[in-house]
Amino acid sequence: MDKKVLKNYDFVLLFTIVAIASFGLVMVGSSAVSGEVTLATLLGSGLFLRQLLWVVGGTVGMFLLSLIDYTEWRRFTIPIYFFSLALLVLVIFKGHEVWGSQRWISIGGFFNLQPSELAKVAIIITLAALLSKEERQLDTWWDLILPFAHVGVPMLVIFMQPDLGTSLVFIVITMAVLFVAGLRWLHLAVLSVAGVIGSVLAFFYVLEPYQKNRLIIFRDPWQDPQKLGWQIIQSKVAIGSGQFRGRGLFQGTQTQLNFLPAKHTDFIFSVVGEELGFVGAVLFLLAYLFLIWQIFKVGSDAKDNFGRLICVGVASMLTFQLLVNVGMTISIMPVTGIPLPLLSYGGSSFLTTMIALGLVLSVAAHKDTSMF
Amino acid sequence: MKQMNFRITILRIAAAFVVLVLVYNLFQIQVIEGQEWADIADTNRFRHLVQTAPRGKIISADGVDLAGNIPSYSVALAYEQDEQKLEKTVSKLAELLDLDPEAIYAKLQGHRRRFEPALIASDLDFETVLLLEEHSHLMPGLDIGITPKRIYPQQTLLAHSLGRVNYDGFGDDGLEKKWEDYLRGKNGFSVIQVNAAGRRVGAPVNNQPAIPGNDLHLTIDAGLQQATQESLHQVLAKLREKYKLEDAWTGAVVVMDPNTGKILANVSEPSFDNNYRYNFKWPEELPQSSTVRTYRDRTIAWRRPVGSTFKMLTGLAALESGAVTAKETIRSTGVARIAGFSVPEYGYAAYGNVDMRRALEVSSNIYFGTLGNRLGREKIYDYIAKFGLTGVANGEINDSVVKNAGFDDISLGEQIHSLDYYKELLNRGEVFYSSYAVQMAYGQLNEFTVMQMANYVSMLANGGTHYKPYMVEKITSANGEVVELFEPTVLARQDFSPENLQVIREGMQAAAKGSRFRNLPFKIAGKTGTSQERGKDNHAWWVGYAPYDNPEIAIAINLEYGGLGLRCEEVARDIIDHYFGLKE
Repeated sequence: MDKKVLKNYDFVLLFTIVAIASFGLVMVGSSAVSGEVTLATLLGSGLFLRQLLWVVGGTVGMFLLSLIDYTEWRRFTIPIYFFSLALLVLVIFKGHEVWGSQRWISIGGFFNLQPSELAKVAIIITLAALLSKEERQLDTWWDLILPFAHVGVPMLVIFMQPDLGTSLVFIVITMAVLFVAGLRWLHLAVLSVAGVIGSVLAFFYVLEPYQKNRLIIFRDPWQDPQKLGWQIIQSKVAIGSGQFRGRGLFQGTQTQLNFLPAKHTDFIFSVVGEELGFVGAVLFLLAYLFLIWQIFKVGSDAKDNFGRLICVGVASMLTFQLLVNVGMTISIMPVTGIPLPLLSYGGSSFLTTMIALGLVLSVAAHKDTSMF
Repeated sequence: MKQMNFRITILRIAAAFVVLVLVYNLFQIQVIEGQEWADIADTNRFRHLVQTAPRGKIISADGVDLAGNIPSYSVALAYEQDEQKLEKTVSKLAELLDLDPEAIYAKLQGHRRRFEPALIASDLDFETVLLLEEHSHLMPGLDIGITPKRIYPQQTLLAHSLGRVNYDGFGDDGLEKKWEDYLRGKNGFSVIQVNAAGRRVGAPVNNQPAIPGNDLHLTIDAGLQQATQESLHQVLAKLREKYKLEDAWTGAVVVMDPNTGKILANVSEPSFDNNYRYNFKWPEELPQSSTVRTYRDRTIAWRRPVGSTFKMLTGLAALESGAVTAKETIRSTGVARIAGFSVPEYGYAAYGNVDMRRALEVSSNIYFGTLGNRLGREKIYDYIAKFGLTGVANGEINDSVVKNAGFDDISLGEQIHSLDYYKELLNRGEVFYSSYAVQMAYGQLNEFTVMQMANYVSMLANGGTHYKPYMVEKITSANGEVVELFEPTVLARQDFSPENLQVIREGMQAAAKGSRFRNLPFKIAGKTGTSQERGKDNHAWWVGYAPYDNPEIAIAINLEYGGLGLRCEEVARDIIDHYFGLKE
């Protein structure tokens, strides 16, 4: 191993990641255990224990991954792309259905893999590889066809699961990476307008009525407080009732008395808001913003465009998921089932995030190493 | 490279903007609206459970519960998010309660407070409750509650006086209404914390135990009440069957302690069962008449002409005012013309020369008609007032007959009968008959309640003290402390001459020597009365007291359409037998 790797290693970023993941672990613990919270009850909870394993294992894996020069992965672009696509197709035939969507594949009966999560990191690597080729230009509309096709195929498969939220993450990653890769402003403007029009058309002509309802219920959850609006209302009640200083860790009534649904997964931020209040929520958001900024910074300092675009893809993924997930808990965004990376319970999401961050750490560590 | 890093900076700013938007919205929700959301969180998790305070009991003087409470079971169902689980629970519950599952869903849906279990059924019998308990593990969220329910264990006994409670548990009439403030306890509540499934978590946050209502202890002797009611019921039946008096379905009796005003028995026939008051079905054999099938208490809210039982009043008025002496005799010739009005004796019997005692014994209309003519109307009114028989008090005419008798322990509610006979009578100046005083004197035209007549005969027995009749002797709290104790109240004391009273009493004693009262171990005083109602059978009355020498009970009996005053004597005898333990 090159000595520069350790010299350049971004320990601040590593520490930030581990701190946020550990914080998430505590919040998962709070949602997993009702009643008195002690080390024993925490460890007695399957959820907490599994998340603990993910955090420890994920951190170790991430660290090991970061030691490998990320440029090595360039050679495996095609296998990565098609392997991830194969998993996505497989989930349609072999996956099991949860809440009306086919998203999971069971692996050994222990771990439910969500290929769409892994596909996010796969698309970041492969798209970055595709757009960082020396000869790649983004001057004409023709130049955009390949990248769009590249992302479009897996995205369509995900959209059909159906998993609208993850499809949107794909769009955001793609646009951010294209933007940094040199997308022309004119193209960006045209694509934005087309995107808005396309969304409106899709809303009215493509989406099923139940999908539409789910998308718009967040504007007025009291229309259906018992079913669709229930999660949103309870989440808002939880966060609002945290007030300025919060109800105290493990003291949130919405959380501890199970009023909050999906509190350890999609609505983990509601637990933060309720138990730690505005102060805790803002500190958490600032830490998260610091993480994102740090990733962008790693991107700026990267030795090549491949590393730069990987960082942009990861940072934009985290930013968008933060916006949509937290926005959902305070009902400024629709409920789309997007987890909060590093915090939400769930192996696939955590694994994906750790791989992505491992790549970013690798980009930082290898900024000075020679390409050959 | 430079351009790329510039664009990365744009994305960094965008990320910061995203966080800013989130922080702004969090500030709005958590800091500005925080308290409102905290309140909602509290309504989410706290549930107020009302503990209905048991209503005070109503207990007779001999310790019988006349009104009490039994636990009533109700079942409620907490909301369940999982539709499959809910369906299982509902179908099981529907099966056990023998309800349509749709009806249960309707109740769940119609329930507005999402965080409280919805009431599914109430007033369940114990068997059903056991069945539910047995299967409760199959029905998560099931909540079986207990609330006290008012019952009247003695059913028809004293039903008119007791009254009932309405659906909300408030007294609607009778004692239940009049003493509402005492009977009603203070509901308790507890605040418990529940989880989203509606299940209780931890100890109550706040607990205020219910304070049971106070118990009413009555002067009523349940045994005597029972004996009197049965006797009245049987005698009325006999009148219909044996004497073909088809209308003899109704009647009333008051038994009073003449030395205190305590009401020992207060019977109104036919009676009913307050347990089924809102859907009570009168026995089919009762005539459809609304005056028979009535919830009005005939002892206090029903006036009938009292006939010859009035003659003691005329006699005493005449003696006191010197219109006659005890020894003076008047000739009874079967029928006589007095002040232009033809006065017949009963059955046109000629009793010859009768003095006061003899006139009372044979109930001579001619004798008392003659006294009435000597006294004049005004003088008779004076004595009516002295015995508390009018509505006139302090020169005013009361609007309620109930108050005329001084009895106000009962709220009549819908029973209020505001026929104010005397008001009408006094205003009837233009239709003046010179014979009016004559007719009044031997008992025609005068309508009083049985309660008033019990007062009247009590005053004759005790020497002229008008005690306020009362039924509630004492009020105690649930743990036995006396809250209020009621002493006899003197409404008025008339200074009748003891000699004159003695003459009247002797006449009554002579009048109560009939075969029905033979072989009593003591003498009694009594007087029958028979009054006419046009086109109907006569009303039968009896007033009296026992024992003659040392009165313990005063009795007033009215058998509507009972034909002849004499018919009341059987009831009087049964009352005396029971009270003095003479049957055994």
